Amino acid sequence: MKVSMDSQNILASIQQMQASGSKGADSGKFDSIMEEIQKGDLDEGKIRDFTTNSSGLSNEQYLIMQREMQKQNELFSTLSNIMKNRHQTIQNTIQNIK
Amino acid sequence: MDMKKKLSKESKKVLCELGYYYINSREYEKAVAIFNSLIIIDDQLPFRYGLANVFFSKSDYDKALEICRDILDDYPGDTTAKLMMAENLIFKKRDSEAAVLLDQVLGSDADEASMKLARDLKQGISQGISSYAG
Repeated sequence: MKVSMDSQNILASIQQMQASGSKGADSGKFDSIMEEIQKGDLDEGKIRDFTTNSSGLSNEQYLIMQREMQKQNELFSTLSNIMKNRHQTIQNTIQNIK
Repeated sequence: MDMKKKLSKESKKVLCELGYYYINSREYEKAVAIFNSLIIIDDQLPFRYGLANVFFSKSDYDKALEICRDILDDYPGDTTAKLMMAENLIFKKRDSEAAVLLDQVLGSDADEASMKLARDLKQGISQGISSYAG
């Protein structure tokens, strides 16, 4: 799937970090944050801090990534509706067989 | 004997459903054979839509467009053919031509499912859906 140039740069830097074994945040803190996420205790601000700190993303890069994800979510939602209504249209044509 | 009377309405529906089953299971040659056979014995629009859908599903957009154009030559106001043509045009990255057809559908008295599909496709165009196609 096509992503913007900014997102490609961000993804490339995350992949580079993964390849070099860098975790950013120390593993103890990482585990405790994972626990908080699983409990649903983290608010959006904490998640944002965690994401930018552990991935090395700047706030600006984080916002770009978030916007890109939002756009993709909207597109998936549209595609889902298209598939649903396409199916219904086909079913209607079959019902019209004489 | 009239060839149309050889198959009951229910049998034609079952065969049409089977054609779509083959589309979904990507057995396109079988789907083409079924819809072509149905068209030969009884040239109804749903079978022509089915054939166009086979070519759309196997990404042969030119062939699908050709079938849609033939339908529209015979039935210029047919909204289903316009919707299918618009889908194929989007996948050919011809958004503006698709938008014209979708506007025609939205300005018609098409059924609710067709209206919803036309609205969603228009929304998809505005979201740049064609850049993800192909």
